[in-house]
Amino acid sequence: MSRPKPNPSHPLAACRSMSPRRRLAALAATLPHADADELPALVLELVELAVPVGGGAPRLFDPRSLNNGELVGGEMVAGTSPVPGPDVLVERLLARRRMRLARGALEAIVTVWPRLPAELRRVVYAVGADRWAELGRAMLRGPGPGSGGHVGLARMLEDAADPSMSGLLPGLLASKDKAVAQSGERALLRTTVRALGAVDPDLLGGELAPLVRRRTLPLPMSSELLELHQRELVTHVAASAWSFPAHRRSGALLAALLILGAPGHDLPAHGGHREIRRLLSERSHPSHGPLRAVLKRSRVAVVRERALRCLAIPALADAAAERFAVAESVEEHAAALPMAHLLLRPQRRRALARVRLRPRRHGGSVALPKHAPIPSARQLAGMAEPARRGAVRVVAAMRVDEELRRAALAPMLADPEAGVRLASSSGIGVLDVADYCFDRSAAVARHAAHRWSTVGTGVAWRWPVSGADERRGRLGERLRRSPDAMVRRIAADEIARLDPWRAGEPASRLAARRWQQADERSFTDALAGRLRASAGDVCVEAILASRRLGLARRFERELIRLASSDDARIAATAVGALASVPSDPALEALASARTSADPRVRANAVDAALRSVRVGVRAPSIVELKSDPDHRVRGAVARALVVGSDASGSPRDGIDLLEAMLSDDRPAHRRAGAWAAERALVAAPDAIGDRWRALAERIAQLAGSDKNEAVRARATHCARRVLVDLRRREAVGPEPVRV
Amino acid sequence: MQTSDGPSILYGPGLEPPPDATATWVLWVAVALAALVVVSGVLGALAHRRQLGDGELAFRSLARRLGLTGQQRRALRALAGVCDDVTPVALLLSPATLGRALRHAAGAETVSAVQRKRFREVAAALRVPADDGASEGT
Repeated sequence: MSRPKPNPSHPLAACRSMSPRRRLAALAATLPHADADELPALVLELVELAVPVGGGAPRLFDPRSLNNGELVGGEMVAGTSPVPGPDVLVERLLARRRMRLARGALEAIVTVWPRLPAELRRVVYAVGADRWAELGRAMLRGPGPGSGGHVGLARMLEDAADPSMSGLLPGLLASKDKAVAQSGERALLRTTVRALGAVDPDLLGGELAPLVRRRTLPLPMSSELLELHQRELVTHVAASAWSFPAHRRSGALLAALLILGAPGHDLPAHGGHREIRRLLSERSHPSHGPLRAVLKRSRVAVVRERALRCLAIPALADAAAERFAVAESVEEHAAALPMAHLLLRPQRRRALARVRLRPRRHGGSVALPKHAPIPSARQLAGMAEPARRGAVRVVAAMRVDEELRRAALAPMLADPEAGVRLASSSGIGVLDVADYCFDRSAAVARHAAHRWSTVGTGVAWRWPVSGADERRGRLGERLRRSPDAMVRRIAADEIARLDPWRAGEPASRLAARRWQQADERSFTDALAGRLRASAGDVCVEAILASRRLGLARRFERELIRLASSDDARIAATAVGALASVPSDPALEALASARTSADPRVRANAVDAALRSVRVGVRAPSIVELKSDPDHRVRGAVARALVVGSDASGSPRDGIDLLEAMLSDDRPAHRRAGAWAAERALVAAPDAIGDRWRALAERIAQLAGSDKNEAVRARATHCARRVLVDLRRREAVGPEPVRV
Repeated sequence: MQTSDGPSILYGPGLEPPPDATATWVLWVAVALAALVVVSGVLGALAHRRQLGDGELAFRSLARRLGLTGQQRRALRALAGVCDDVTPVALLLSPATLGRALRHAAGAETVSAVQRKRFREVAAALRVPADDGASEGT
């Protein structure tokens, strides 16, 4: 047999011609000593051995050997085929041999994993995660290739961050080799962050961010498969956390905390997640002390957000509150504040309220203390809107001095986002809420106005009101000019509650009654003073108040004096108020008013005549005013004649006058006629009798075809009211109608 | 029928007498011994190979393929023995390892000059520069 020719320039080529077993032995023995330049070639030779020609991993178990067996109730039941033939047995033996070789090749590679260049790691890992997992399990079960192999395995898991390999992590954590356990801890954290997307790497802080940001190997798996492996990962993280006493690696506890808030997954229903929650609640477990330490001392930014979640867990609430009360970086704020809505849960709120935030004072002003849980104005400016909104919630939930609260929330007043301003308007004190009533956002302004308003709060004012209440009233007046109708309405209601002289407002009349009840003398003096006031508006309001509150008799002399006032508005209002005063001087004043030069005074005098009949006064003669040149007077006369049964003159005169007014050439008279017809048709249909239909038709005609828009509008209003009244009569029968 | 005087008349032409029973027995024993020797040899060889281990076998196989002489193989084994943890096969497959081993051996007091020379010869045969500081002197 001739000796092979020497080929020293290609030792690897010579090696390839050896049997696979010797080739593996040679390569495995060389690999640990090879230079970085030599490693790739040697490793690729081993990869070739690990992936046999023909593709796929070598199988120890061949499904064909099942002999048509089938799965019954979770157990494989053998079929009726004969025992495997020699070909199958040989194939199985060969497969077993290939598998041993492949595993040996992988073992050799994993030993030098830390020395492999990044690109080569990608190639090597592509052999298959299941193959590596199988190898890893075998290595962890047995003595393996020594700690070098375990270190390589741990480093590979660290690089891969592959959730399908998570089953190996608890074993690595439990390794007695410190380097292996440390690497396993890093692998656990990287896998958790990567697979669950649990944390934005920006929020991990300087401690973990570089670890997570490190390049990872690709994960070629479908989303469904990834989800399956995520669940496995959660289970293994839970197991690692529960086995903390055995390995004392706090990374397992940190990973459990990270999973606690993993977004976007249906994890809470998963058993692993339940196990984690159970561990967090298990106060007596040896991991609880370290867990509290992780919660309190970890500078990983996102742990602060997890602390916020843990506020609801009684066993961790104190540590969580302590952690949440300190934020050393912007990242910690950015991590926790967007989740501040969790503080809506009373349990968390109570836990956080145990921490008191003390202000830092310099000079006369207060400022947030160092590392405060609320970001400074400068920090807030750079944060996203959810974080800024969350800051408001935190301020509201914590025990904070009012002065400090105001200082903390002050920057929010000018926040560009309406949502933030809305939140801060909720968190701020009632004294400061007025600032928000002028917000450019209608939602914010309305919300603030609602908070500012005392309507529905049961607050009763004391009159005469104090200076603060006067300022409140002035603010209300300004808010009545708000561009938002709702704010204007709220302001009007508030003013009505504060001002007892707005007789048209029920709340104002109630306020006046309360004042009168509480201190009659001061109220009466105040009313008398206002009746003597020179300002027309004040005087008119006072007259109306005396009339609506039934105090006209008490102020009869003043009202008689005012009925002859030069200010027609005051005189007309006073005449209207004197209708309820049945004294001779009052009647004389009313008679005099009927001849007044001002049409409003005359019209009110006619109305007063109609009302004075109700208080037992004989009806004065008003028929002569039928031909008054003013439309208001004529309208009032027509109504009084038709409706007022005891008035001088007959309803027929009134109906004649109505018909004449409705056909008048002057639009103002037609409009006044429609006004009077509305009241007559509704209040006294019986008095109108057969002419009711003609009057109604005339109204309908005016509503449809009158040339004047104001007349059409008034006639339309009249027609609608008459129709409503007709339907009501059909339904429930006639009832007294206020005219 | 057989008499004590001579062959039986029953044996005619073409008919041989039966072989001697003793000779047959001896023959079978010889065959069995031979088989035993062969099997023992095979088993012994297998045991020897197993004792050598895959690494040594791989070294032998690779050295043979690379055309190394017996002396060169011995030199490589000696060189591997000088360095800790290095196997002879690693010296064959990794020129860098061989270079390091040579440098290590150059500084080792236990290595004689003859050995150094042989190491350099092996390195030359494997086309690895023997950068041990003695190349210029030889």
